[in-house]
Order: sequence, then structure tokens, then C-alpha cells
Amino acid sequence: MAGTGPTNTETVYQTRSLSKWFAIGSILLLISVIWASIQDYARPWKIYQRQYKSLVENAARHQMDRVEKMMSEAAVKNKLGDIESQIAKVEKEMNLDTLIREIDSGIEKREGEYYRVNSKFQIAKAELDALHYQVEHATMLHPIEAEKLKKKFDAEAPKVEVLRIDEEKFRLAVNEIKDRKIDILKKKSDLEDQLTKLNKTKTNLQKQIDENAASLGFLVRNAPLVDFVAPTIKVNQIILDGLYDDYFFNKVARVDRCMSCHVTADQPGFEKYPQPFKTHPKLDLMVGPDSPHPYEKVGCTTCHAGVPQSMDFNLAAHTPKDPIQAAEWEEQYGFHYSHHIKTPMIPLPLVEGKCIQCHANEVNLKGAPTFNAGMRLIEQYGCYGCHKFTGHFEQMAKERKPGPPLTRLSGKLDPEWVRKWLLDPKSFRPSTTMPNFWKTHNNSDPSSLARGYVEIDAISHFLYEQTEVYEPVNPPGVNGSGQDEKIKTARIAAAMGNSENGKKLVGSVGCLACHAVADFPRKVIPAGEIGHADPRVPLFGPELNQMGSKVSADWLYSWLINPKHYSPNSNMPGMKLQPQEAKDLTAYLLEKKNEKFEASKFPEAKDDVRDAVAYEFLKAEKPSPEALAEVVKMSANEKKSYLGKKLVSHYGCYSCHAIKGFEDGPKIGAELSLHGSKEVTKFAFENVHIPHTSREWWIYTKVRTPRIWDVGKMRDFQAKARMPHFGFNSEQANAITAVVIGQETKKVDDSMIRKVDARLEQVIAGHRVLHRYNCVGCHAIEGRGAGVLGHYEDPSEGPPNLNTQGLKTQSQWLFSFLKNTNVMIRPWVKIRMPQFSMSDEDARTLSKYFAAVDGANYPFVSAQANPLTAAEVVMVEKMINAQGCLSCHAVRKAGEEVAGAAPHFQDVKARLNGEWVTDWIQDPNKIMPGTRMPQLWPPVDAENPKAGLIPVPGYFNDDANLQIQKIRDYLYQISAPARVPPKPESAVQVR
Amino acid sequence: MLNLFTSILNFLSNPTIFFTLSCLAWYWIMKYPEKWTPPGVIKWIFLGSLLLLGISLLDPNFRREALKPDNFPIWLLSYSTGFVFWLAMRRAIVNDERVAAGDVTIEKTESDKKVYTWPDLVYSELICMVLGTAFLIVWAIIFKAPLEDPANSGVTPAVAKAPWYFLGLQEILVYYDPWMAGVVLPGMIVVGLIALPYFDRNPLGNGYYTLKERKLAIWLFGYGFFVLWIALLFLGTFMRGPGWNFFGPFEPWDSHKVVALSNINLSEIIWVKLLGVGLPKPWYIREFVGIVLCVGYLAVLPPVLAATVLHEWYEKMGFLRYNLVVNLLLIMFSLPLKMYLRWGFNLKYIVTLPDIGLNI
Repeated sequence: MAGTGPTNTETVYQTRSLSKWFAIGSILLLISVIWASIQDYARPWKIYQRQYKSLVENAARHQMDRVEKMMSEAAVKNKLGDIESQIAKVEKEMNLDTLIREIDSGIEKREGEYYRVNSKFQIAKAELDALHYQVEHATMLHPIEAEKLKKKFDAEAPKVEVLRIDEEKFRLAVNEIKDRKIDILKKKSDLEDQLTKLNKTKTNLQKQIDENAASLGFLVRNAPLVDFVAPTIKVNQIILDGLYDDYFFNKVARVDRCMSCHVTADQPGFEKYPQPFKTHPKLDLMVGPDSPHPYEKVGCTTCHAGVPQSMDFNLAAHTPKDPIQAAEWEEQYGFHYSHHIKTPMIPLPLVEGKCIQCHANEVNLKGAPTFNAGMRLIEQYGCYGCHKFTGHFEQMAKERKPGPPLTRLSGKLDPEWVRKWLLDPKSFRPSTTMPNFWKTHNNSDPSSLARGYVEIDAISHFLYEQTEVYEPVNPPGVNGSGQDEKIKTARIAAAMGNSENGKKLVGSVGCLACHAVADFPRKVIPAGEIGHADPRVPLFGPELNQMGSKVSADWLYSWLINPKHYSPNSNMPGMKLQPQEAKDLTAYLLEKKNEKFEASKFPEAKDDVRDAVAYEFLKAEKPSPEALAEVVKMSANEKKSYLGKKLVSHYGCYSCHAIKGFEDGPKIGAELSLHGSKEVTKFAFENVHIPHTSREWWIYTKVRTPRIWDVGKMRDFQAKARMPHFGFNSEQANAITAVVIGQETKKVDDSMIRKVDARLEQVIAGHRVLHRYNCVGCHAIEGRGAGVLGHYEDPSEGPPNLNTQGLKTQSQWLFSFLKNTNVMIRPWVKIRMPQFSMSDEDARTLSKYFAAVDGANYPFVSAQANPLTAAEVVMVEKMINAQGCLSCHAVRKAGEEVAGAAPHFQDVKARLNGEWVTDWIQDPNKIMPGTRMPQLWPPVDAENPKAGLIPVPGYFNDDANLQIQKIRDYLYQISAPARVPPKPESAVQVR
Repeated sequence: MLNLFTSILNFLSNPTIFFTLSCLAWYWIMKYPEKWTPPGVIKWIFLGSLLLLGISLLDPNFRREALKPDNFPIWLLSYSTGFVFWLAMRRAIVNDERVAAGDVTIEKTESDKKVYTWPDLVYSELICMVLGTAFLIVWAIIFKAPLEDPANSGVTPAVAKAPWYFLGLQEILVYYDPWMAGVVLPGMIVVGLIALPYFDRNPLGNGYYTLKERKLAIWLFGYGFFVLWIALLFLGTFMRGPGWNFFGPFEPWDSHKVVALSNINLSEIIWVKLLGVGLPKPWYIREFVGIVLCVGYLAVLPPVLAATVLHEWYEKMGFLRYNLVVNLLLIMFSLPLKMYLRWGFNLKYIVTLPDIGLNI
């Protein structure tokens, strides 16, 4: 065969069949290339941008039609036609040029005439002045000469006066004709301006149409395969300096490309379009160029998170707000949760938590109700007691524990009540902020319950061992001290008053600002109005519907008359109650009972279970045989004390309550200050069916059902979740989750963090104090709060709105008032300003806060008023009578006290700022909406406040502002120096 | 029904059973090539595998892993190597039959024809380029590149896996110390493959497919490639989940799975378990048996074999070549050996000298 090789011309492959395969291959390659180009051409963001262009074009065409219609219909009624015809009228019919020429010549003529008259007058006046001098000069030296000259002067003077009047007449004539010219020219230029404006609108619209219409250039530049050269459809990205992505060892400026699809996010007018063309719903607060958070500076992912540079729905990590939206997205965009993305977008209801990044330490943010509610919830439920946060809560944790102290427990409650309460606090008081530690997801089985009874028994035993003796304040008529039954019975008997009166007092003195009482339902005030209370945030104090099943009369009387007697650090302020009032209240509150709870009995704590639990704890401390011996040796009470102490530390009771021996207990919860950045894979989702790709689902679930993770797990007692069950509803849990999600590692440069200047610092500090004393429960401050108004038909009956408080009162007065509130200001207001026994520091912080929030000067203010002459005083007093001020305001005249329903005039000088007083008189309703103070100087034109006020005729040149100023001056002149209020310790209210 | 199916397959996928079955399958494949190579049979095997795959895809857990874009190359690899191997075997059988009948091989009939550079070579290369490019484009369109967040050096992913082509090596890491699994064994593979032409100077089979003339060579090489490489790669891709724990193809990947780790060293088996005394202090006494076994395996076994079973090889290859070949083979077989020792006796290391980091 080898020999035949060279001559054999047969080839292995046939060129024809190769060509066939080549053809097939080429077609496949062509198809794949076309496919790839289509894929690229049809990327969602490109489609959106094309859609956007046609959207804008259509909108512009629509508007253009309107403008053109307006411009083409030259009918008289039509605006533009009107303008044009007016211009024509001005220009042609009125023959403007001739007119102007005529006027100009008129001006010339009149000016000539005026010149003549004026020079005649000036010469005559000069001569007269010379004569005047001569007369005076001669009077001293030559009396006879002077006489002569005087006569001459008297003769000349009237002639000069005639000339002056003449001059004035001609001057006015010249001015008048000049004004006429200006008027005509102004009218013309106004009309021309209007025309230019319309034409400009038209040009702009035309430009928009041209830019967005599908032109050949547009098609070519964005055609598949050539669109890499100079496309008009481009990735719309922004580089955000100061906001960075942490690429581990390298910080890179954040690049947001969201607006490639969300093209219109920053443009008003697209509010009703579907996504991605929807305008940002809060353009005045976010994204808008004039908002505090413009897109150029803040971008999108700073708040929304997600993968900023991704251009695909899933890769950008959109996160649905609920399973319904997830299903919708799945259908629409092929949505799925990604396992690989570290920072998926925050679901919309939680976005506000991200504010913390730049607004660290702030408690109250405008336009962030969920954030505010979350912060308030964390404060009130005391999350910071167990969990470490940074900023605000860290500060709070230093200041006080969230729950009541247990150091004098035995003086208030009996052990059986405490045990039943611990077992299930919500069965006693459904709205309590005390969470359930037992009967939860991981300890409701029979053996855990048996153990629970032992634990509760031990804890209450321990707590009673630790408490100190407390002796309540004696009601009137009881003398002596001590704890024996006799005196206790006497106290209880003496503490009960009239419950009817008590009910009235509850409704009037202000209990309802912090406490719910079933007899007094609160009406719901809609969001946005003053008095609206966020339904997510519970009332500041506990509800009072079960008091009778909890405390005894002697303790309650003592508590009402002076809460600080039992608990010096309590949130409850003194309500300035008279002994009889306290007795009435006691009687009323003790009528409220929870019969079911009273009837229940705490189950038996079994000895063998107690032994097992004690052994378990002892085993951890010493070798097992020793531990066992110890268990055998200990008495039941010893075991209880031992276990009680261990369990208080295990459950972290001391985190919320002051307990002797646990003053410096560590925080037992996980630190949350970086929780929003914790790796998703580090959350143990266990057997719970929630998306395992999102932190927020885990945190939300933890907040609502903290111990659900143990379900289906075999865990030792020590390994079980300890966080108690607070019973949050979904809205509350959402708000808390938002705040926790916001606790992140820093991704924001210092330059981007909101500058805390001295003023803002005072505002922030003030918010903290406002929350601590629940000032906002009664007062509207910065337009928020005053939930107690839900109990009032007429808001002016309720506590005053503290709008402009910083401008209103003098800092020194405010400080002393906060220190001691025994000063009656508004006699018609039944609700009482409580006695807070505020520290100097808190009072100072608050008065600084009010000054800072209103931009007032603190603490120095200039002279308040000017002194009046005796004649002016008389006039002002007349005016005051005429205006009827004294029909409401109290005033003290020489030796005589005129009573009144409105604030006393004698306080003005010591209390109010002068400038504020005039503002107040001018328009009281503007400062305090719904006030009883009428506007006695009503505006000339209600629409236009600049038009001035209508004066009281006959006083001070009929100048309204001068009248008001004089009244202010008068009030300062008559009012006395500051009143010295009685000492706050006195329980007697001063009227 | 599907449940039964998945639980059977889950059970069979256990590494021990999976590996043993792979070995047995290889034995059967090589023993009875005429049973599976005919096109009529292989067609049914191919369709059967597709059916199996189709049924398996009904299971969400299987679907999750099987349809990952990252795992597409494994499927490609499985079917393409299978096809190429079948083609070679089929031709080899046909050739063997033709030779037995006194005919020439298929290749011989073709090699008389001419192969021109143009059009035969260049044209067919061009066609391959075109088809390859089209294939890559389509692949890129259908399976988008799985982009993730920037890597974080502080965070280890729950499933830490090597690139797919190294998963066989990663599986070896379970049984051997890193220096063996990561350095010695891969090194031996590379050295062995380079040296192969010098060891195997047998001219039979050059330029044509044959099984009969090269049965042992194909057997040995195929065992190393298909069983110890491809099969382990498959196992590593689909059956090793978070923590390199074993998961059946129909089991969810639970990153919290706990597996008892109770492996012990040979020294402990001997001194503690058998002799019931503590471990002796001096290392040479403690590791005596292990050292003897290792030295015996690599140094004593070759001459013994040369004198007995492999006498013929020794004669043919001479001292140096014989020792190199046998040592390479012994090292290759040390892998399945160690695997079975681990499964059978929970054996961790045969020799362990932690002081110098030497563990075998």
C-alpha cells in the first residue's frame, strides 16, 4: 500500500461537505451574534430610557398643543392674543412713539417753565434768607434799624411763599408727566415680558419634542452593534464623594446608577406613572435639587442600599416589602432573592432606619415617622437595657433603667402577685411593656413550665430578700410610723376618699397624658394634625385599669401625693394634689380590678424540680459530686435565694430594674450597634420559614417572636434564647427593625454626616429630655405630640402649644419655672403642669433647647420695652379698656386685684420677651393655633398680611403697629418683678 | 415513588458506595466492552441517563445544584468524555474484530487517502472555530456570568469550593494531609503524565484504536482518569455541600449539618485499641508500624512483585523503568487504599509526626 500512496489522489474529506458544514456554522454564528446584539439592545435600562424619551415627548406634545392653541386663537378672551393685541394697542392705536415724543416735549416744556419759576423762587429765597440774617444781626446792635428791616422782611416773606407754592405746583406737574411716561413704558415692557415668557415656554417645549422624538440620528446612534460609538442612551451614573463602598482594605467612592432606569426620580410631574418612571414621593425632602438631600450629593443607595453599580433588576438587589410584592415581581421581573449579595435593598417600610448613618444621635427627624416611632419604642420598651447601641441609647442607658426599681418591692406588692405577674404579665395588664419570660415559644411544654414555676418562685424569693423596708406617707389623720398591722389598717382606712371625685380628677388633672383609663376613651386625631399620637408608640405610663388588683390604698395614696418618696428616680411627676384629691383618686383607682387575675393562683413550685435546677447551676461552678452534696445540704430557702440570684443574672432582670447587688451588671443582649451590617449568613434562621437571604426578616421575626428559633431544636436551658416576648404588633416590629437595620458600620465620610453645631446639639439634647419627662404627651412641640388633646373637644382647654416658646419666654424665667412649676399661668386650664423636680441640668438643657429650636438668643436679651410718658399711659389705659383686654386678663392695679380668666398681666415683664409680645398681639392664632386670644387688630386684607392691620381709631396717629407697641411698653411698665412660687415640696397647689 | 427514587439515589451517592460503584462500573466496562459499545445499546444507555436526569430535575434540591450556571461545564464534561470514550472503545472493538478476521483496521483504510493542508486541515479548523465561537456566544447568553459582591477577605463563604477542575483534588484532601493531597499526588500526576512516553514504549495501538492489544494500559490509565479524577470531580461538584459535608443529590444543603469526626491514627489503633496501653513517647516506637508499612509498600513491595506476579514486566522493562512505573502505580493506588482504610477503620493517618508536619 505504501507504494501506491503518492499516486492516490483521493482525499479524506470532501470539500463540498466541508462547505456544507461551513455554511451551517456560519449561519449559527450569525444567529448567535444577532441574538447577542438583541440581548444587549433590549437590556431593561435601555428599554426604560427609550420609554422615558417617548413619555417626555408625548407629555411635551400635549403641553405644546395647549400652548399653541392658546397662541393661535387670537380672540380677545385668549390670554396671549389679549397680550398681543394690547401691545398692538399700546404701540399702534395709541401711537406710542408719537405719544412718547409728545410726552417728552411736554416734559421739556414743563421743565423749562419749572426752571424759570424755580430760579425766581430760589433768588427770592436767597434774598429773604439774607434779610433774615440782617434782622437778627441788627436786633442785637441797632434796634431801630432792626425794626425797619423786620418790616421789610415781613413784607417780603409772603411774596417768597407765593413763589414757593408756585414752584411746588410746577415741580409736581413735571413729576406727574414723568410718572405717566414711566407708567406707559412699564405697561409695555410688562406685556412684552409676558409674550417673551410664552414664547420661551414654546421654545422649550419644542426643544423637548425635538430632543426626545425618534429622530434618525437617535436611531442610528443607538442602533444595535454601533451603539458603542456615541450612544444617546447611556448609563446614567453619579459618583458620590464622601459616601463609599468598603471593598475591604480599599474604600471606593460609591457609584449610583439607579437613575439609568429610574430616569424621572428627580423630576416632578411623574408622580402617577408606574415604576420605574415614578417621581420620588418625597421630592421636597429627598432627591430633589432644592431638598436637603439632593441626588447629586446623596444618591440613592445611601438610603435604599442595594448594589449601586448593577443594571439588572435582580443584580441591583431590589427587595420586596412583603410576599405579595415578591410574587408580583417574580412575575414581572423574574425576581428572586439573591444569596450572594451582601447589602440588598432595604424594603421600603424600613428605609427610614438608614437616616441614622448621617443623623447619628438624633432622636426626632422630620419626615421620618417610622424612624421616630422605632426610636420611641426602643426607649419605652427599654431595648437599650440589654442591648448595646451607640449614640442616643448609650446615653439613655447611662441615665436611667427603663423599668421601675425593685429595691423597695415589699412596700408595694405582695409576693403572690409578683409571682403571677412574672408568669404572665400580659394576663394582668394587656398593654404592659413588661415582656413575657415564661410561657413563650421555647418554654411552654409541661417540663419547662414546671421549671418556670421554680424559677419564678426563686426570683421572687430573692427579690424580697433584697428589698429594703418602705414606709408610705401618712394620710391626714394618721400619726406614727412602723409596719405593724394596726397602723397599716389605719393608713388604708384614711387613704380612701370619694371615688366620684376621683374620677373627675383623673379626667382633669392630667393623668390621661401618660396613662390610659378605660372610662376615658381617647379620640383619634389624624396624622398631620396637632395632637396626633402615633398608634405604634404606647402611652408613656401604664394603663390604670387594674390598680385595685395590684396595690393597696396606703401605698397608692403615698405614691400619688409624692411619687419621689417611694422612687426618687421615677418618671412619674408630682401632680400637685391636695391630700383630699389624692384620697379621692386612690378610691377611684382601686375600684379598677382584674378579677380573673385575682382569682388565679400561682402553681406549685416542686421541690424535685428545684433540686434539679439547683444542681444544674451548681454543676457549672464545682465538680459534680460536690454540687450534688451541696444540693442535699441546702435548705429550700437557701436554694431559692441561690437560684434567684443566678436567674436574675441569667434573664437580665437588672437590665431594666434596679436590684440590689446588680448595680453594675453587664448587658446580656447582643450588641446591636453594627447589626445592620452583620453578615446574613451569620444569622441563625434555624427552622423558621422566612427568606434566609435577608437580615430584616430575621430581625423582624426576632422582635416579634424572639424565641421562635428554639422551636424544633433540642437545646439546654443555657443555650435557649433568652430574649423575652414583648408582644409587638407588626407595625411596631417594623419600626424597631428599621432602627436596628440602620445600625451599620460607617460608610459615610465625616463631611457627609450632618454637622452638629452648638444649636443642633442643644436641640438633640433637648429632645432627649422632652422624651424623658414626656413633655410631648401634653404639649405640642415642633408641631408634634400633645396626644392628650384627644381628650379635649376644644384644644384651647388643653395644655398650651409650645410653638415659639424659645422666643416667647425669657430663658431665666423658663429655667426657674421648670425647676418649680408652682406658678399658675392659665387659670382656665384644668390640666396641671406637674412638678417634675427637674435637675438644674435638665432644666437648663430644656430652656436652651427652646431657645435653640426657635433660633432665639440665649440667655441674654435686649431691653424689653421703652418707658411711656404719663400722658401715653393714660392713652394706653383707655385703649386697653376700649379693646376689652381686661375682660379676660387679670391685672393688679394700685392695691386692687382685678381677677381674670386669661394670663395675669403682672407676669409679662418677668416672663415674656418684648418682641414676641408684639408678634403675639398682632396675630395670636398664627403662634398658637386655636388660641382663645382674639386678633384685636385685624388685618386690612386677610389675603395679604403685608397690607397692615386696622388701627383703633383715635390713638397714636391711628398707627396700628405703634398702638401695639405702646401696649407692650405699658405692660412692661405696670408688671411686677417675677413672682416667687412656693417651694415645690409643698403638696398644696397654688392658684 | 419519587421519594423512593430519591432516597435510593441519595443512599447510593454516599462517597463509600459511590466510589465503590465507580470502581465496579469501571471493572465491568473494561471486562465486557462488547456489551455496551454497540450503538443500539449505547443509545439506550444515553437515553436512560437523560431520563434519569429528567426525573431527578423534578426535585428542587437537585434542580438547585444541577442548573447552576457554574455547573454547566460538569455536565458538558460528563457527556463529552463519555461520548469520546465510547467512540474510542467502539472503534477499538471493531478494529479488534477486523484484525481477528484478517482484515486491516479502519484507520488503515483511511490513512492511504491524502490529507491536504488546504482544504482539509485549514477548512476544518475554520469550521471548528466558527462553531466554537457560536457555541461560546450562546453559552454566554443563556448562562449569565454569576456576578457576586466584591470578595470580602473577612468572610468565608458557607460553601468553600475550588474551581470545578480542582474538585477532584479537593476530595483527596479529605483523606490525605494537604502536603500529600496538594503537593505530592498532583506532582506525581504531572510527572507521571510527562514520563508516560518513556515508560510505555509499546508500538501497538499507534495510529489506530485497539483494546485487545493494550488492555492493561487502557485499564490502568482509565482507572486513574475516569474513576480517580472525573468521578471525584462529579462527587465534589454535586455531592459536597457546606463544610465539604456529604449531601445526597436530593438533599438540601444545610450549612449547620453536624457529622461525627472520630478518626484515629494507626498508632492509636495499635497501641491503645489493640495493646491497651498508652501511646509510647518516642516517635520512632509510636509510629513504628506505620513507618514499616509505608516503607514496605513503596520499597519492599516492588521487588517482591518483580519476583512473583510482575516478573514478566520486570524482564521487559529492566530495573529502573520497572521500579519507576510500579512506584507511580502504587502511589496512584494508595488513594483508593487510603479511602477504604478511612471508611473501614476510621483511619486518620498511617504515620503522623506533627513535630515536622509529616502526616501520611
